[in-house]
Amino acid sequence: MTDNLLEDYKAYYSVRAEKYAGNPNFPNYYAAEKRLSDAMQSCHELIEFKDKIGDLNERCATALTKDQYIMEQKHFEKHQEVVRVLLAKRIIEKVDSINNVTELITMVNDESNKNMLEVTLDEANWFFAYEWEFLDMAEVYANAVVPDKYKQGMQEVAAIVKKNIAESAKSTEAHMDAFQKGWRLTPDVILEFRHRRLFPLSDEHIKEHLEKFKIIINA
Amino acid sequence: MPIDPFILDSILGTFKNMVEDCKSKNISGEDFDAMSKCYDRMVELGQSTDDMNIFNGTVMQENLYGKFSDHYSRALSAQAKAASSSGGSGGYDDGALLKQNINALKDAIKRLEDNYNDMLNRASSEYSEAQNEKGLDMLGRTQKKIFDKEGGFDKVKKIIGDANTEAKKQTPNMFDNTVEVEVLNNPEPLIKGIQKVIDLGEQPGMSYPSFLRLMIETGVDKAMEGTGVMRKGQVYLLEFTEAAPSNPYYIESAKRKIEAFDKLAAGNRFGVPDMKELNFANDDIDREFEPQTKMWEAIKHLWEKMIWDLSDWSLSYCSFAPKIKPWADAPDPVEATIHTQETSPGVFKEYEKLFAKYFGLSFMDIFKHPTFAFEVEKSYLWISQELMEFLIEEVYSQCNPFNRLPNPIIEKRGSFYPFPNHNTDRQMNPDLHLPNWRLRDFYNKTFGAGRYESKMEVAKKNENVISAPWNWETFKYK
Repeated sequence: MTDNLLEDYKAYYSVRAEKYAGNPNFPNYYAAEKRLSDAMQSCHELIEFKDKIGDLNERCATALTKDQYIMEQKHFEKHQEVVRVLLAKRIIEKVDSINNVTELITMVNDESNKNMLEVTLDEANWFFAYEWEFLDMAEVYANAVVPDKYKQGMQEVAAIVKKNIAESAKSTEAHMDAFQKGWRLTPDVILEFRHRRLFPLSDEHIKEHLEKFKIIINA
Repeated sequence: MPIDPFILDSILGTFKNMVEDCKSKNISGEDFDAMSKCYDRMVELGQSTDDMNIFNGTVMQENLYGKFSDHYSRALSAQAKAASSSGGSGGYDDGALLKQNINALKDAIKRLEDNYNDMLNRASSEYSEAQNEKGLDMLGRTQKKIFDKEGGFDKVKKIIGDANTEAKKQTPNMFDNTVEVEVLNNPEPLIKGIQKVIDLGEQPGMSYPSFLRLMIETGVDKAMEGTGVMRKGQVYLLEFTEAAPSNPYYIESAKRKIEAFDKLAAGNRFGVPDMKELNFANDDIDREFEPQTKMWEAIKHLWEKMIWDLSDWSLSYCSFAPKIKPWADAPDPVEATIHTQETSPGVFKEYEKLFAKYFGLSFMDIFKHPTFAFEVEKSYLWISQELMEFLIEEVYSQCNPFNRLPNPIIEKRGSFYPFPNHNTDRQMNPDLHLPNWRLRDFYNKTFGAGRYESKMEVAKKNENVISAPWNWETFKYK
């Protein structure tokens, strides 16, 4: 029975290691699982594994976490997500110093929450995408060629639309104040790729609108 | 003022249950105290403000959900460790380890069944209606002034209740989602997979390590993460998108996600994709299509506005215009029609300029653009082919600031509108019911014959519309 059990464990650890063999996204995890499996394969009796295992099992957990966040780092770097990528960078920086699964989970949870907050603040600037159409509308009413009799009314509509944009900006800033004291909209951040991709327009048109937004929200 | 209990209870209920669960299992110690402290802080926050924004912002800044979850895991794990170390002499017991794991799988099945039954209960008409009533009562408490204007909350509640009773005569399952839960969330396939592993584990002579190996080899470890269910969800999403697409990219994206799933599964030794790899592949696909989708929506949005303005402007000249909406609702309907006549061309021309500035497209380019062809093909476009052609051929060139629409064109424009006879509508697309019929067919194919009709009203073909259906072949501006 003992011999069979040893062979069963050898087969189990071998399968665990081979699960990610050759997968380029999991080199650290595969290496950690392989070290664990090698430790088992070197045992002549099961009892030997008690000493040989050391923290190899815990190292598999940290290695898996590391590989997953290396993958995430590459993914977000590819998409120029400079805020979202911070989570992966910080976890990769810290993960090797941890050899306890509970601490690992705590660290990942803390960093995830921190990054969620950073992303929420950053993406609150999508305000400019949501308000784009209203700024267009204000411009349309302000520039529309109409008989003199209607000119003032059209300008009033344009002014109301701009006032609504300004109020909406204040309301967004008040909303985000609960997440970070004193948070303010930063129009120019929209020109960075992660936000820029949401605007199906030329840089020239985006810049032109952003200047108009700045005047409205700072008035 | 605190957050209304209807909302706060739904947020904190899960945390409260976890605290109670620990108490019932006699779990105590540092981590239990810490998780209870997190819960108490959430309750305190909910009592100190009625602003959900402040509540959410503070919870996030203090990381209360994360800390609670962390201490909860530690408290449970400490209890499990204590239980296993007190269970024997400390020597290796293969049978006990195997039994412990099989019991964990049996518990998993029990949890899946309990969750499913809970979902079914929440999907029932009784539960939904009770929740709706609680939500309405909450509005009564928090928006009293609005209801007072309408004769008081009780009166409004009765009107809504009577309307629902009446609607249920036609659509008896309007609040029931049990069939949908049965089709989309039935855990039976997952349970069967887990049961197979349990059966293997309970075979005579099975050792704990062989059992663990089989779990990996059969992919059950990944199946328990919900990976298999995810593919089923993606197929559902594709079929739904094909039935009700808002643009062609969503269909393509849904297809590509299934391909990505299958490719990752094929590359995995045990045929189950890694969840992280799958999420990144899906995100790549979303990001690839996002700019095209945004462009599509922006172009469509502008030309829809232009066509509507052209239609509205020409209609405002008709003698009956002051008697129909939107002008009839104005304090001075005649003056309102004159306002449209005088100002709409200026607005139209500005939108036309924006269309050219942003997308390099002219008014006539609208009809050659794939967004227009798509809207026609899917019967989403509200306007009939004959009115569209009339607007292009006779109205567009007239729509200039300070220009008045000539009388013969006004007369023709009036002939499209069903006034005074309602059954002579030539301006609407006669096939506007078709998108809803496609959705109904998909729904009934997925959830069973007649299910859609039992829940929702089916759009009727508008018999008052006498215009011919769109014929793309004969549309000469494409």
